[in-house]
Amino acid sequence: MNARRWLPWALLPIAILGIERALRAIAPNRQPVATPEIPHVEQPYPQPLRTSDPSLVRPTGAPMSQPTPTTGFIRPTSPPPDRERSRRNAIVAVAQLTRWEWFKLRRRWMPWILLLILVLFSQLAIWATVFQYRSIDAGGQVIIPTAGRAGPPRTAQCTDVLAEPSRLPEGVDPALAPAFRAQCVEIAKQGDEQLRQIYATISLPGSIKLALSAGIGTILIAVLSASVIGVEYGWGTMRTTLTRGTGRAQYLAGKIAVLLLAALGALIVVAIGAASASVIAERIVTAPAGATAATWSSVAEAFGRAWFALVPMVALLVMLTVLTASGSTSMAIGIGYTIAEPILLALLGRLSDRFARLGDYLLAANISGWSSGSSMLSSSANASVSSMHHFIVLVIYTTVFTAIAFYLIKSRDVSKATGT
Amino acid sequence: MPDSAAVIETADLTKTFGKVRAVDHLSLRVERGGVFGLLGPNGSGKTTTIGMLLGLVAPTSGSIRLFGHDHNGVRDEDLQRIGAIIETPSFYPYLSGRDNLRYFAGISAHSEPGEVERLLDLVELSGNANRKFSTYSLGMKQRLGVAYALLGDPDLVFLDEPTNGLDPAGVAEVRDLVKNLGRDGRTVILSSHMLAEVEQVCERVAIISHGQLLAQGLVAELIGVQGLFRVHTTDDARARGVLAALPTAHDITDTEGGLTVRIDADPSDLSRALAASNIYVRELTPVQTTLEQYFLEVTGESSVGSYGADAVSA
Repeated sequence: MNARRWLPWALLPIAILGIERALRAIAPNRQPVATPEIPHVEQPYPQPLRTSDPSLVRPTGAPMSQPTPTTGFIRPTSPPPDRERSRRNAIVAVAQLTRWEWFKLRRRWMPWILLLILVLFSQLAIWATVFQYRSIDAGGQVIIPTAGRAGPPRTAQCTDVLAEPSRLPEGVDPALAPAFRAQCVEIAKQGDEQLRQIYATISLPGSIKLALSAGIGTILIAVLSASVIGVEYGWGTMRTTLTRGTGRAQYLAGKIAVLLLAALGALIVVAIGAASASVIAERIVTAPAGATAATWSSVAEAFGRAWFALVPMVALLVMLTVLTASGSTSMAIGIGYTIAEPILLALLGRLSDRFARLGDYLLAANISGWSSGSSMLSSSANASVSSMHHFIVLVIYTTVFTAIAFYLIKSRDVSKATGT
Repeated sequence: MPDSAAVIETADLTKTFGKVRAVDHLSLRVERGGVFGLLGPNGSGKTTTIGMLLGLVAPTSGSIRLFGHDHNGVRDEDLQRIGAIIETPSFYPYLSGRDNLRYFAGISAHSEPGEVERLLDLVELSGNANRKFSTYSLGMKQRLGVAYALLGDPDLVFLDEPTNGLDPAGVAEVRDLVKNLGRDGRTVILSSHMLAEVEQVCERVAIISHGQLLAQGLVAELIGVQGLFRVHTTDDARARGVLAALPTAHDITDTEGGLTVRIDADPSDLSRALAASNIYVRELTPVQTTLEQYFLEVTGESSVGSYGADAVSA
């Protein structure tokens, strides 16, 4: 693996550190602030329990074994705010919010349905390839010209064509047998190399790369991102949460963190599913002569690529959802753009050569280009630019989208019951 | 210097939405401890004011001082000492009541272990704590909202229409709870359209209309000190004439056993003027009105029917 391919990964920690610093700068209110406190009028800390029900007050000097009341409202003493503030810095707050976002997320049906769809698609990619392999392994087939007959074209298995004498379907002119034999010999020549390539994608660890390149992840993460933030506006729970003093920036950072972690978890599940599928596939197909396997380092790279391809999509949907204060609207815009961009690029490309390089700087094209680097069977969608280019463009998009989302959530009023 | 007696102080607080001025130079002061009523007709700016005090709405101008701090806007540290329910409580419909409280306790800075169960007991939701919030009745939602507002043992609690949807027994329970909450050094800001409840629970109130503060002070003083007095003297007929000549006395009417008179000045002026005419006061008592009457008078509303919970943000 050359240095150019690894450079983006070397830059990744720097990018993460940069984002973390930006978060700290955006959310300075978690830092200790030296401001005067209201002096406690009653007693200095520590002070006895205060309660609305006098019968619940533990008398001063009472033994600690005295039973703790299970009902009634008790006000335990609070530690000094300065100590509290210094204990809870921004990272701790975001970590806490992330943990509790996960608590909510795993209790919803939607993420599990999306995960199921993702796993199904990845399995479909593997098993379609397995059946393709079996078809080629069976010797391939030739298409018999219809010769004016109605109905779909017929095929003949090469194993039958190459038999002595050739076994052709009924009604086929035997004079065509030499031509079919020549086709089948050519297929067999190409087939060996094709079999080796395909086998590498359905056996471990290559199957993981194939499953990760299934391509539906960006759509599903867009749906999840829009939903995770959009429901807070729809249900009005954003207001309920923000009045807890969590901090707006920390609140959004927690949501982004849980989305990225959920994406990571989903990819791990896909990888495990692909590995399981490989175990079965390797039992039902015969390995070709000279079969080679993908390297684990290339799988790790593909995993990193697949995950990082989702990051700008999360950032885009988070920004759109905060901007529109609606999960469904942002979902429509985000997914609509992802679908429309390649169509638009193709149309513009036909209009003028000036637009030929436009895709090098657009989001969906760069996500596609970056992701396709992990696929063994397909070349980069835009081979004219390097992985480094894709990486830089995606980092820029992610940073801009995230910065806009943080700016919007920090500066906007949350005045209505719906959180808008 | 921060004034330690005030938990909320606003100065010229103003919020405009486009051309609409929802809050207009509001200078509010809420003393530490007790239950404070925030009253106003629909669209008077109560919810916007509460929104600004909770950092949800950015003021257009003016200042907010919470817990005696001098700062611009509301800090997260301040919010961690505040519990609030605004309008209809909003929770996650797919989570149970218990899990909703667990979540909000989890993200709170000052939540204590076992607090969720204690609060569920307090609002009598323990038996339904595992039911999804979406299946709760309005009364149960309100109870959960009250429990939510008390998470983290806040020093300042905002309760916006906490008795909405509750049956009479529930209303009485919440009323007692609110009274108790205000007794142990905690400050409760109560916004309710049930003025009789407010009168029973609140020591102090502020009345807002069209975003402006119309009145603020002790309930007892506000409903007593409107300057209306019942006067019974040694000679009521002559007293009427003397009072009519006083520039600070108005609206003199005969009542059974005396007169009622509205006085702009110190009531002792009235007593002094009568004594100067050899008329001696046998009784001089302020005429008590209800908070509802006082409210209607200062807001200029024709009936209490036009007053109620803010259905939408002001």
